Amino acid sequence: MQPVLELSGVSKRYRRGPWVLDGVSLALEPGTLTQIRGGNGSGKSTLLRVAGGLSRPTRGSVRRDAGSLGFVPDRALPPARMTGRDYLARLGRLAGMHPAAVGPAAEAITERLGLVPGLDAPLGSLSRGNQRKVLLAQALLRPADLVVLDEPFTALDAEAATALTEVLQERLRQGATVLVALHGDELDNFGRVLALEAGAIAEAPPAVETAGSPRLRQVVVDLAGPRPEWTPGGSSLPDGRTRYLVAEADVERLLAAALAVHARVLRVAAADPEDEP
Amino acid sequence: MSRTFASVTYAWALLLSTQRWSAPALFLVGLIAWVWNTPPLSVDTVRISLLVLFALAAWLGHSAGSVEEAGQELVSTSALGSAARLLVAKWMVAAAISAVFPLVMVAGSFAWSQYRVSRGFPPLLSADQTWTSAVAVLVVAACGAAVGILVASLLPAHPGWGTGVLVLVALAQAAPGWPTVAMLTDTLPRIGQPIAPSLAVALAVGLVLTGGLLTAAVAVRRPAG
Repeated sequence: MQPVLELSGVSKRYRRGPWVLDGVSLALEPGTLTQIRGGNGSGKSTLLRVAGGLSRPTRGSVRRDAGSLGFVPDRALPPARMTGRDYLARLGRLAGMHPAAVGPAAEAITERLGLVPGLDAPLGSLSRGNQRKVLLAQALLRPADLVVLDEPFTALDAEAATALTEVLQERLRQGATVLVALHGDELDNFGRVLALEAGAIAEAPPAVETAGSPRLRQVVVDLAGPRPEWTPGGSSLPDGRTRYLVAEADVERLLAAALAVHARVLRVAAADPEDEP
Repeated sequence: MSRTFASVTYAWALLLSTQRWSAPALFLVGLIAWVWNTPPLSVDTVRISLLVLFALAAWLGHSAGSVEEAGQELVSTSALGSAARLLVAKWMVAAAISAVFPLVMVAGSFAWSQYRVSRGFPPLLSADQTWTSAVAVLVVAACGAAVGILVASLLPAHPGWGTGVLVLVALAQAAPGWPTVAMLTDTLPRIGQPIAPSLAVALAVGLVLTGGLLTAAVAVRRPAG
């Protein structure tokens, strides 16, 4: 299969400074997730910028076969006086989305990520975590071919982190290729994990397709009766039940919401591929 | 085409929301209004206003080129898929804002001149002077904004140095025969004079210089560089 992104012997230095990347070679297959882990100054952000076409390598070559890119840098200050709605609408149109499609998509993704003040607050008035959610929302507004996220979990609350993991899994199922830089093990060993040390790929453990993280393990919950106030989507079954596929970390929240409206819990079980709603 | 339009409206919205347009645009309006209301109104008025226009278009170009924080520029570039397109959009917005008021003054002065002619007074600006002045305004606004964009790209973290370079380049425009302003003003026709072929050369030099400045800005710009 043709890689979506291929870096061959990529090295990078800024002006006459030290080499930030040193001979990095990497190929990303379509529909896969790759984690780049490393400490401060290891070159993760530079690698992601080069991968996204936002910085030219000093040496080596980059071949990208992606029509659209969703990108979140490690830090960014969106225009302070613009509202989240205006910001996402403009970035959606920059990305080629139809103006009529941007609004609903922005509402949907920010609701999932839990943007508490809503989309009509000026971006400058938002907390760091909420600004981060808006930045993530612009990258995930539409199904991009290549999604590149630099420290996406920074400043996110636990619910937003879980929602982000679920959105990334959806994007993977839709065929997107995801490249994520992380300090720690927020995504456990999901996908392919590469370590970057002093600008070089230091190790490449074998790919792990699924992981044991509570954020990544999926659970099937079947409910009947009133719809809980909080649900992660859900699909109606012919016998009147509604089936929810949720991350294990969210099961307790869903059950609490179901009990609050006196819904009947008919099944709670680990998901298998046939349970996909 | 729609993404190009979206990039222009995005650059416009950024300038508005950050209010980075206000200082250079208000200076431009004030100075141009002062120049055009200082008698006698003639082609020399156009020459002085072109010099003022170049300096303030460069300031606006610099404001537009540095309107986004570096991380945010990565975001908008990735959404648009092209750093060059975003930069050109910012240049277009800066050049358009710069050109509007001087063009209004040229057109208004021509209308006033025509009214005076109808009352038996000699013309202040001929039709030839008016349209050549209008074209000169467009070229100078484009070139000035391109200088600002290039300086913002070359010195992104040094607004003080950038301002110094802009002042020097603007002052150099007064040097006899130098492109773009001095070269253009030397070739603008006086009343009764035919349009000299050297005007076309001066306009072409201005446009080529603008293209060169923008190309250089794209080449050195980060993101992309």
